[in-house]
Amino acid sequence: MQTPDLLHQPYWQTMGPLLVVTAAAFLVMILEFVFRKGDRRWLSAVSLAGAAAALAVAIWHYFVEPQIALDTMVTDPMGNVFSVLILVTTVLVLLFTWDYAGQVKVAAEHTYLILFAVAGALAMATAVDMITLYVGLELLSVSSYILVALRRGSARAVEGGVKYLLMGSIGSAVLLYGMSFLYGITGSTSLLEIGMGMQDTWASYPTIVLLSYLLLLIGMGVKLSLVPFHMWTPDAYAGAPSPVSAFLATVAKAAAFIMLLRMTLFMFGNNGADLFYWAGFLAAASMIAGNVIALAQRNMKRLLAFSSIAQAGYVLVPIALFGTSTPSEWYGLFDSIAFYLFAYTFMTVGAFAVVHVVARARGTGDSDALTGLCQRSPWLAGALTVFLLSLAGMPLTSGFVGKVYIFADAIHLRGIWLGVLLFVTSVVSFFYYFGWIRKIFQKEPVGEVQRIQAGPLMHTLLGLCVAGTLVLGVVPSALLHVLQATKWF
Amino acid sequence: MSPYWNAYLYVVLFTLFGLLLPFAALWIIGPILRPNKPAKGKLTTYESGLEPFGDAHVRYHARYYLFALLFVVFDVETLFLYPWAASFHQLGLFALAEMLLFIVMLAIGLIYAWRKKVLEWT
Amino acid sequence: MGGAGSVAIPAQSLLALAAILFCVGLYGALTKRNLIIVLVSIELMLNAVNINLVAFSRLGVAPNLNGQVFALFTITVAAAEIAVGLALLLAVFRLRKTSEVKDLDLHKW
Repeated sequence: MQTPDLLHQPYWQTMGPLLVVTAAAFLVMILEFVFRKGDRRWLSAVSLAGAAAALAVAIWHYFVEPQIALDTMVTDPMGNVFSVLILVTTVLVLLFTWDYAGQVKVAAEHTYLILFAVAGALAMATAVDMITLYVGLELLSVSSYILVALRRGSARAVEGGVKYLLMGSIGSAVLLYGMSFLYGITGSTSLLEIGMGMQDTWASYPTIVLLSYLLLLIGMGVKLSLVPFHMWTPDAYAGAPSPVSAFLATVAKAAAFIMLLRMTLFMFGNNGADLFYWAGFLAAASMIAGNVIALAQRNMKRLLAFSSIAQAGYVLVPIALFGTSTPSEWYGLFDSIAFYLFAYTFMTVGAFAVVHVVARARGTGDSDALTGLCQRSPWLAGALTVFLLSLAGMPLTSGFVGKVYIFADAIHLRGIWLGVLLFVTSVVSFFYYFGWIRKIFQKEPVGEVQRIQAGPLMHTLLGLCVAGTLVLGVVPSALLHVLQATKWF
Repeated sequence: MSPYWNAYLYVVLFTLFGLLLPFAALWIIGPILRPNKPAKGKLTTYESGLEPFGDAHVRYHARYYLFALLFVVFDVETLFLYPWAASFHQLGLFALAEMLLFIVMLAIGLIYAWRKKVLEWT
Repeated sequence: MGGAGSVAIPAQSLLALAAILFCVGLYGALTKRNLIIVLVSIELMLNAVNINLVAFSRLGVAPNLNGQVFALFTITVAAAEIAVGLALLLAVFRLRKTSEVKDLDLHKW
């Protein structure tokens, strides 16, 4: 390639948010070792500003014509929507981190490792080349392993980190093995080229195509913590600092979803009807096991971990339906997935935030700590109730709208058994979500109740999350119109 | 037989010969030719001239690990430098800028390690 | 390979080697008790992938250099992963005086 060509690639359009996040991460890293004295909470503010700037760039580039740079990074509507989703979530998580750094002494690496992880997530959202996707995935994963185990003095944190690392590394090795076969039978690492040649490849090597698809699905299944590859999830979430748990449950999952979507659609989309059924089994297993095991949880963060496993199962339902629907119906499925992930972000980050405040004030992570929350802090009780109702899928919340869309897709697009399973397992989830709500509104029987206070940052965060959950629940068309106007690919 | 499998014949012959040679030298011909006068100094383990001390199963200090880690970073960096250097003339200035950026990023990592007092042996 | 006097190795042998390595690694990673052995097993799996990639970049359907480039990135990322793994292992050992997987049992439900 000639130098002038390289210089005129649309780098800024395709990689703008990624470059901003990476630059912010390095900036915070340098600031961190230059200013070593005193209160360093402002480092979190710098990270937050970096993420907000990246979000601004992502929104600014939202309507740019689809472009590709160096055959690896694209700006297309699919990538744009998910970049915005990832960055909105990042802003929320960094607010959480900022608040957290005020109460608990955390290593300063915390703030910029999140930014590095987000850079990986953005690469996963915009790359169309297996090498870049893999490097992005690993940047996200390796940063996450460190983030989970960063409280080196805590045996639980380190243990969660080790389990996450072992499972995650096995998962990426399996994923990579699948990628190597795809490269072998097509001679290309570009998703677009592999997709174009898939018709012939499929005819010549059906077994290898199936094998590589399954390996990719298992690898991504570990990253998405789908049952039966979920074993690391509760330990990592419970051991990690709360902002990191929220990060893993939202940003890491959204990024893994867009990567899975891109790989399966671009490479296998045109003739993979039978393949997508396998995703259906994983969705079913995650919905059932996630919700049933959650019933037995006493620790609040562990319960939220299992709840997030079940939620990932719900989002996987539309992906399983790609096989039984026509490409014109895929747009609707994309709308459902993106809407649910937006809804999921607000309610999950919010739930982790309230759980963190309560567990810290009461000195225990057990769900009994919630008892009498409505007396201790009506605002926290109200916010958590909104998030729980939304996670359970009650009307007037975003979770309800999201689930209805996925359910409708399943019924229309010949996946009735998945729709029924979605409904039944949601009913199961009522038991544990309403169990919490009952505890919140239970009166503490004796004595003066101790009130729970939260800082202004926490109030801002919760306000944003409650607003997001309710707005998407009451006027879902606000987001749905944008999504429906999106030409996904 | 294909030439591919023929190639294995050489491997087998080499392996057999390689096994035979030290065996013959150490256990068959050696004892016949060499004098045998054992002494305490001769029978101890040879450790480059030092008196051997302690057990072979010593624990290495965990600090070595940090140096090993830094070594790995720069070791792997060369992995990218070689292909880049080999095709430098075709890639031109832009790749030079990219490579400099890459090295600067690694340098920031090194400065980080330095500021965290990883490089001090105390 | 490919030079005068050398013989071509068929792709199947390399793929079989990679498959065996991968399975050995996967088995080790899932069954071994010691954390270091588990990390070594994961490394085996990644090296199996590298063999696959390099074999395909020479003997695949459409041979090109992409596979070797991919392998370079895999090696780098694997190094990072294992470095973090060893760091965590040290942290576990400092806190718990053990490097056995079965002793990682603080999280109960």
